[in-house]
Amino acid sequence: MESTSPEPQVDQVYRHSLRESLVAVSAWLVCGVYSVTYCFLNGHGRKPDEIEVTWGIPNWVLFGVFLPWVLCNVFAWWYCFCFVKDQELDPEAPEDAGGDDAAP
Amino acid sequence: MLHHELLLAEAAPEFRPEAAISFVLYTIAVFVLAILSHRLLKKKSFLKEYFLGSRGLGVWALAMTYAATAASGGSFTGFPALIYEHGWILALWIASYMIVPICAMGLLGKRLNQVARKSDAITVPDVFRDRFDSGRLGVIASLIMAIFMVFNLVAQFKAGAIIIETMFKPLEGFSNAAQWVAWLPENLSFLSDKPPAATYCLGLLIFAAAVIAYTTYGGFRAVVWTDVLQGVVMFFGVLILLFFTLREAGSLSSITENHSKRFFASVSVEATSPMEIARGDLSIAVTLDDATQRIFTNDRSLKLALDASTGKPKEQTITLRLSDGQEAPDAISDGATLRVLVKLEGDELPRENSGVSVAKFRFDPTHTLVTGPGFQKGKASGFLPFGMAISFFVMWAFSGAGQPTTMVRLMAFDNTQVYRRAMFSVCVYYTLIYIPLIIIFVAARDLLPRLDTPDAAMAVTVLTVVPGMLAGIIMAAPFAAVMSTVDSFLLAISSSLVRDVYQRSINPNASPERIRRLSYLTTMIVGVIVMFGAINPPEFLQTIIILTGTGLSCSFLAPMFFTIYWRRMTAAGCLTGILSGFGTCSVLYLLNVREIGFEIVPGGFHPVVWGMLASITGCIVGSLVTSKPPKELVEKYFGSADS
Repeated sequence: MESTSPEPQVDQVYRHSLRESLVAVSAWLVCGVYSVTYCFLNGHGRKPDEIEVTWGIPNWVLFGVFLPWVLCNVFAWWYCFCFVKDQELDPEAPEDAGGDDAAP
Repeated sequence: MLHHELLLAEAAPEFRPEAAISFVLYTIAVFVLAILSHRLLKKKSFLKEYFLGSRGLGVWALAMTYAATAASGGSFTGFPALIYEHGWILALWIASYMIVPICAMGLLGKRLNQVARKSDAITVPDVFRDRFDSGRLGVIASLIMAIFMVFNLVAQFKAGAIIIETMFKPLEGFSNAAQWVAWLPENLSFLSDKPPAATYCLGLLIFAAAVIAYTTYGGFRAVVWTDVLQGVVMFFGVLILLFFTLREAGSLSSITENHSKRFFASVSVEATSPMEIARGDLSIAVTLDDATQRIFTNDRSLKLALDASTGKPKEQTITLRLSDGQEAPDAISDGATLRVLVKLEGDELPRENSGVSVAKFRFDPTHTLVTGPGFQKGKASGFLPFGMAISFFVMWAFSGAGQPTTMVRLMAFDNTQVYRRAMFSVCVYYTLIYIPLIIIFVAARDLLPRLDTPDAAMAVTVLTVVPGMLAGIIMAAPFAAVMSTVDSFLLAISSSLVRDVYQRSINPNASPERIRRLSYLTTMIVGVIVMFGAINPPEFLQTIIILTGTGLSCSFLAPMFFTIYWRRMTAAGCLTGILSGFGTCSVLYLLNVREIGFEIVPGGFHPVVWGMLASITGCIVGSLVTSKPPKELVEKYFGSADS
C-alpha cells in the first residue's frame, strides 16, 4: 500500500550543524596535538639555563601556545564568517504556551 | 628601593579610599541593571524571561554573558594563584582556551538552540525531558546539576569574600564591623578545626547579600546585562593591570631571567610540638656528595601542627627555596646529610634542636617557574606532566561546552547571525584576557615573591601596583568575574528545581503567582545555603572549580551531543551516559580527595578524560541495547527518521 503523505526531509539545520561541529572538534584536535607536543618537546624536563627566551617569553610558550593562539583567531574568523551557515531557526512558541504563565 | 616598598606593601596593603569608591560605584551599577531588568520581567512571560531572557540575546549580550560566565572566580583568583605558584607552565595548562569558543559554541550552539525552540525548552533538563518524552530523565538531570553547582558556588563565594576582605580589611571601620559577625565562625566551629577570620566572614556576608539580592530580583536578563558590564570591566581591568605591572616589574626578560634562578624543594617535615615559623626562619643545609653545601629556606610563614586525633607529630609538606646565588645541584641523593635550623620566637639565632625533623626531601632542578612540568610540592612528577597536559586540553574545551550554564546561553540567542558574531568575539576576548593574565602574574611573582596566600595574588598585586581610582575598577574585575558566575549558577539551580522538579513533575497546575514566588524563594535559599558552606572555605579555589566543572561536563556533554545529533539515542542511553559520566568522575575524585594533586590517575590522565569516555560509552551502549525511539519523536527533531 502506498503512503499518501510525502517522506519528511532531513532537517537542514541538523545537517549543517553536524558538519560545523565536526570541523570545530577537528580544529581543537589539531591545536591540542601541536601545542602539547611542541611544549613537551621544547619545555619539559629541561634546566632553566637550557630554555631559549624571546621578548622575555620562553620559546616553548611563545611558539607552543601564544603564536597558535593568535592563529586560532584567524581560523575563528574564517569559521564564523565564511564557514558557518546562516539558517532560519524554528519560530519561537507563543509566550503563553506550554503551561507557562503570563505576568498580570 | 621600589622593590623594598613593594615587599612592605605585600605584607599589608594600605586602604585605598578612591579604589573603594569606584568598587562601590560598580556594585551600585549592578543593582541599577537588576532593577531595570525587573521592570522588563513584569512585561513578559515570567518563567521564560526569568530563566532564559525570552530567547532574545543579541551579539554583545551573548558574547559577554558567555565569556563572563565561563571566566569565573577561578580565572581571576584561582588562575592567578596558580600562575603565581607554578609560573610559565600555566600557559600550557590554559592553552585549550585558544580554541574553546569554537569548540564549545560550535559543537552544540546552533542545533541546541533549534531543538530548544522545537520543544519550547527553558532549561537543559527541559531539553532532555522533551526530546525523549521522559519526566524521570528531566528530574535526575536536574538533581545532578544542582549537586555539582552547589559545590562550585561555594568556591565562588569564597573568592568574592576574599576580594572584599582584602580591599576593606585595612579600613578600621571594616575590622570593627567584623566583630559583629565574629560569633559566626565561633558558633560554627564544627565546620572546621580552623575557624576563618571574622573579616573573611563579613566579606562573605556582604558578597552573598549583594549577589543573592540582584540575582533573585532581576533574573536571567539582569544576569546577562550585568555580565556585559562585568565582561567590559574584566577586559579593561586586565589590560590596565598588564600595563602597570610591567611598568613596575621592568622588562619581561629580566623577570624570566630572575625566575630561571629560583629553585624549589618539596620537603616533608614533622614537629614534636605545634609551632609558628616566620618567613626565612627555617633553613635546611644539605651537604652534597661532593661535600659542598646548599641552603634551602622558607619563603612563607609556616604553621606546624600535631595530629589532632593522636597528638603525635604530623607529616606536613612544605616548599623551600634554594638561597639566592647558590648553584642548583643536578640531584640530591637520598643519603645526603640534612641539618635543620629553626629560629623560633624569642631565639636570637637559629638552632638545630628545635624539634623539627625531615621525613622526605625532594629536589628536581627541572621543576622551575620557566620550565615544564613546573614545580609542585609533594608531587614527584611536577605540576603538569604529559598526561595531565593532554587532560587539561581536553577538559577546558569540553568542560566549557558541557556546562549547563553555557548551554542555557546557547539556547537563548536570537538568530544564527548573532551566534556567529558572538563566537568570534569570544575568541578575541579570551585571547586578550588570558595571555595578559599569564604575563601579569609571572611578573607579579617576581615583584611580590613571598605571598603567604597565593589566592590573594590578584588583589594584592592590584592594590600594590595600580594607582588611584583605577585600582578600584580593576579590583572590580575579579569581583565581576565571580559575580557573573555565581548569578548564572544560582539561576541554573533554581530553574532546575522550580521548572523541572516542581512545575513539570510535582505540580503542573501551579499558578503563575506561585511559580513566581517559588522562583524568588528558591534562588534566595540556595544562595544562603551556599553562603554557610563557604564559611569553611577550601584552600585552593581553582581545584574545587575544576572538580565540579568537570563533573558537570562528564555528566552532560556527551548525552547532550548525542541527544541533538543522534537519531538512535534513547532515554535509557541518555540516562546511562549521564550516570556513567557522573559516577566515573565522582569515584575518581573521591579516591583523590586526600591527594588533591591527583595521585590516583589511571594512565596518567585526569578523571575528566575517563569520565567523558565512560559517558560516551554509556550513551552508545545504553541506546543500542534498548528499543528504537518512537518514530514521531525522531521526525519532530530530525525531519526524516532515516539517517
